[in-house]
Amino acid sequence: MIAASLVAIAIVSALLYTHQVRLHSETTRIHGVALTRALSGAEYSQLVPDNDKGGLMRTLANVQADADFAYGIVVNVAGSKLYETTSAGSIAPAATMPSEPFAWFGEHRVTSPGDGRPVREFFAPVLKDGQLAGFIRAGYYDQPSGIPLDQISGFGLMALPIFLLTALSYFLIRREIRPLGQLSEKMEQASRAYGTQLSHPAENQNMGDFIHRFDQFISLVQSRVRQMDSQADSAQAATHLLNYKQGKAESALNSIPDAVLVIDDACIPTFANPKIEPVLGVNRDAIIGHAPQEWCENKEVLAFLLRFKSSPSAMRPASMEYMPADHSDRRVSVSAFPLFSPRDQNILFGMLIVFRDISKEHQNKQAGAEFVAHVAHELKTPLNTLSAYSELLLDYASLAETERVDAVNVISGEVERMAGLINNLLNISKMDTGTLPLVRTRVKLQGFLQDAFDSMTHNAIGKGVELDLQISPEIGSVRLDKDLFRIAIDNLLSNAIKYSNRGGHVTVTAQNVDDDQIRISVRDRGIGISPEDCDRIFLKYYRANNSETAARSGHGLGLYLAKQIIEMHHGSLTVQSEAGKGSEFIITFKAQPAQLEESQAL
Amino acid sequence: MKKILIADDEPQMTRVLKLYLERAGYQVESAPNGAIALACIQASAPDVLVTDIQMPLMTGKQLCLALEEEFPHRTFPIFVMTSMTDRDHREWTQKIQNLEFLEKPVSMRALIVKLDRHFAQAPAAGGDGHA
Repeated sequence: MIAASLVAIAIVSALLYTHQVRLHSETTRIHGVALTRALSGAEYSQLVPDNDKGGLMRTLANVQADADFAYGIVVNVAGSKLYETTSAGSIAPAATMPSEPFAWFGEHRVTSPGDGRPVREFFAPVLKDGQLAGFIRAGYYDQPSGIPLDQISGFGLMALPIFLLTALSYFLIRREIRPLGQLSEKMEQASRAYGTQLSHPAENQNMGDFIHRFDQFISLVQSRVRQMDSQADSAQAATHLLNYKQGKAESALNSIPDAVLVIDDACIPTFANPKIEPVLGVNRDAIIGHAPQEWCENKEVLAFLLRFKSSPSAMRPASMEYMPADHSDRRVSVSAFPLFSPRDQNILFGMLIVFRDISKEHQNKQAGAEFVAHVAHELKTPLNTLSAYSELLLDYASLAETERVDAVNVISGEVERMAGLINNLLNISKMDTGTLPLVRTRVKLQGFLQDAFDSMTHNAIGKGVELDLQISPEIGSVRLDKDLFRIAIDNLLSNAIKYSNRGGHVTVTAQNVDDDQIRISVRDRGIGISPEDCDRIFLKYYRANNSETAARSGHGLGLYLAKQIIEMHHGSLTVQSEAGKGSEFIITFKAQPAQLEESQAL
Repeated sequence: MKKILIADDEPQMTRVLKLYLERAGYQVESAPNGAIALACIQASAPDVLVTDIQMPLMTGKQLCLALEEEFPHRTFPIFVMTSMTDRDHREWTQKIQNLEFLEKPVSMRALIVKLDRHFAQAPAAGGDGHA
C-alpha cells in the first residue's frame, strides 16, 4: 500500500517534472528565437558597439532575465567573435555557421566547453549594408539549472494530500480489512476443523484472493451444512427409531404382570413400571430417582436392594421372598438380574429387580400340600375299613352269614369309593395337562338329571336331607360329554347334601333361559359360604377353613373339577351364597351347539 | 367288664370295631360324632375312648380339648385313629395327657393287643374310670 502510494507520488512527480522540462524548453525556444530575431533586425553598430559600453544584446539578454541564458555572441562569417556577453562560468563554444541563406535562421545543440552542460543555441544572420556580415548566436542551457523552490513547494503541496490521503485510506482500509483478515483466519481454522485446507495460504492477502477463498469457504460450509442436514435427518430417524424401540420396550415392561424396577449402579431406581405401586404400596414417582431408603419400608427388601450398591461383584442374580407387613396372607418374591451392556459383558448398567406377587402360587403350594394330606386321609379312610373287615373275615371263620355278607358288601363299597376317588384324581390330572378329551353325545337332559338325582337319593335319605327335582318340560336333548357332565352334577349334588344340615332341603331345577341357554341350579339351605370363600371355592384344593367344613370329608377337588368340566362345555358355573343361609350353584350353558351339530349331522 | 367308647361317623367302622371288641370281651358303646361322645362320657366315663378325627358337629380334636377342660382329672386313655401323619396336625395333642395315636389303617388285632396290655398294666386306672 505504501509502495502504491509512493509509486503514485513518483508518477505525479515525474509528470510534473516532464511538464516543467517541456515548459522550460518552450520558454527557452521563445526566448532564444525572440532574442535572435530581435537582434537580427538591429543595426550592425548596435550589435557590435565600438566601445565596450554594453550593446543591444546585453541589454536584451538582461531584459529577458532568463536564468538559463548561457551566452550571446556575434560572429563574422568566418566565425570569429565580434562581440559576446556571457553568464557566469559559461564559455561559448566554436561553431560552424551555415552558408546557405535558407539555413541562416535556426537552432542547434552544442556542449558548453566550460562545464560540459548541453546548450541549445539559436542563431540568426547579421546584415551590414544588405550583405551577410555574420551571425548572432544565443545559447541557453538545455536542462533547467534546478527545479525552483516555489515549484518544489507546489509539488510538495500537491503530493502531501495525496500522500496523506493514501496513508489515511491505507490505514482506513487496513482498519476495515482487519476484520476480513480475522475472518480469513477464522475461515482457515474452521476449514481445518472440517479437515479441508483452503486453496491459498493466508500470506497473500489480496481482495480477489480473499473473495476466492471466501467462495471456497462458503461452498465448503454449504456442503458441510448439507452433510449435517442429512446427518440430522438420519439422527432424527434414529431418534424416532430409538424412541419407538424404547417405547416398545417400556410398554412391554409396563404390560408385564410383575412389578419391574431398574436400579443403576448407585442403587437409584431409573425405571419402575406401574405394577410396582400395588406391590410396594408406594407411588411410582416417589420411587424413580430416589434412594431405596426413602421409600422402602421393608427391612429385608431394603437390605436386598442395597447389597447391589456395595460392590460390582455383588451384582449377581439373586432372589428372596418376603411377606408384606400389612397383608399376612400375601407373599412376594423378589428377583434381581444384572443388566449387562449388550456390547461388553464387563460393563454393568445396574440391576433389573422383579417383584412378583406369589401369594397365589404360595397358596396353591400350601393348598397342594394340604391336598396331599386330604387325599391321603380320603384314601386311608376306606383303607381303614377294608383293613378292619378283611381282618374280621380272616380272624373269625365262624361269622354268621349276615355278618359275612355285610363285611363283603362293605369291602366292595369301599373299593368302589376308592376307585371313584382315584378316577377323580386321574381326571383332574388329565384336565390339568389338557389330555382329557370331550366326547359329546346326544343326551336327553331330563333323563340324565333324573339318573344323577336318583343315585343321590339314598345318600340324602341317610343324611336326613330332602331332595327336590324340578325339570322344565320343554327341555329337550343336548350334546354333552355324559360321563364328565355327570361328575360335575354329582359333585354339586353331593356337596349340597354334604353341607346341608339334618332336615335340610336341596332343590335342583333345570330350565331354558334366553332361547338357547340352559340353566341348571342346585340350591341348598345349608351352612352357606362366606363372601371371601365364594371367590376361592373354585380354586383347586381349596377348602373353606372352618369347623363346619372340617367336620365334613372333602378333598377340595369337587368344585374345581365341576367348573373345569362345565367350562369345557363352554358353559359357566357360578355361586350365590350367604353364610348360614345356604348356597345356590348355577350352571349355564348353550343348548345351541347340540342343535347345530345335530343339523350338521343330518 | 371294661367299657370302650367308640366315636366314629363311619358306620361300617363302628360296626367292625364293635364286633371285634365285643368278641374280645369288652363292653362297647358308640357315638357317630364328638358331641354325642361327650354326652356319653358326661353320663358315664368309659375305660377307654377310641375316636376318629373327622366327624360332623364335633371333631375328635374338639372332643379331646373339651374333655381336657371338663375333666381335668380324667384317667381313661384316649386312642385317636388318624391318617394325618404330619406333625402340624398333632401339635394340639401335646397338651393332652394320656393320649395315643392309632395310625390308619388300624389293625384290629393290634388294637385288641394294645387294650389288653393297657388293662393288664393298670387295672386300677380302669376301675377309677367307673367313678
